Amino acid sequence: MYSHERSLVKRLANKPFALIGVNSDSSRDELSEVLKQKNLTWRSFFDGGGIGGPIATRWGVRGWPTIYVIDHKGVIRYKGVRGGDLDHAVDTLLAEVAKRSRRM
Amino acid sequence: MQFLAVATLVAAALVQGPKDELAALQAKVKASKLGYQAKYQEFKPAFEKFAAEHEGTESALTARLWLLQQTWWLRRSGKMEAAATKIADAILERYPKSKQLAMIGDYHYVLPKNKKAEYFGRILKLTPHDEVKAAMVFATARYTRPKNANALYRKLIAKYGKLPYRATTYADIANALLSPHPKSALAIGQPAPDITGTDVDGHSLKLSDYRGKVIVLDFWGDW
Repeated sequence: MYSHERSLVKRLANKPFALIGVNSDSSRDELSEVLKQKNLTWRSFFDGGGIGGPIATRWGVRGWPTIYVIDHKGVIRYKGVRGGDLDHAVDTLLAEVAKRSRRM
Repeated sequence: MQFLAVATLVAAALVQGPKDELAALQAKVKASKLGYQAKYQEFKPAFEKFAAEHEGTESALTARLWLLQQTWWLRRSGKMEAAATKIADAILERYPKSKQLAMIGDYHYVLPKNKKAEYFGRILKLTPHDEVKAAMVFATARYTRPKNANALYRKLIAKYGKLPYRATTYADIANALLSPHPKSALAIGQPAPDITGTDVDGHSLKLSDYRGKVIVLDFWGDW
């Protein structure tokens, strides 16, 4: 578990990239324990202490994990991508950012 | 060795009150390596015995609520609803004014579909506590009456909005239920709705603070 997230964060440490979680564990204490024990470095919203918290409810999330990939302009570009597809999605969007900065 | 262990447990139980005894039992459940269903089978007798011995105390009710929730594991054998009804009836009869009755809203899934509203209504009438009333209004809206749900969510916000629901408030969860993002707003090509909230330490966090970066937004939990 988490190995893919970890490798993404490590590989893209110097890129304009952020992994942001929305966490549905039952308490801040429990989440804190998980972050420490599994050495997870990215930030997460704490979503009210359970599945069906306010953020997941607004976003209509029914299954965990659910993944959205958002580009640098804030537009939703991919949904539900995992594994190699997730890498590909992120790399594609990072290439768009690089293209834009070259133009400037 | 085994005798010694048992003797120590008995001695500990004598010195401690029911609260400590229950905490020890709960710790055993937590530490057990069995699967959820096997855990229920294994510890059910101990919880029943504990509840019977301490009937009338809040700890006994806590044990009975655990037993109620755990009837979930009987669903495949078709015995869940009958078992849950029996436990819920006993709880309502013996502990009508306990604050812990709020939990029954969360354990709705073991109750028969056509009886949920009745249970929530009964508890609503029995309880003197706003916390329990809020839980019952919420459970009624959420799990029994989708048609009138929005009116109930508004009532919940107006009357009990500031009361805690899990680690948030009834206002927070009811507002989210009243105004979910439409599916079309979460489609590919749409601007991602902003999220404002707090992180594990309570520090504020905003999705839009990361504009300019490629974001992987990951709804997750450690289970």
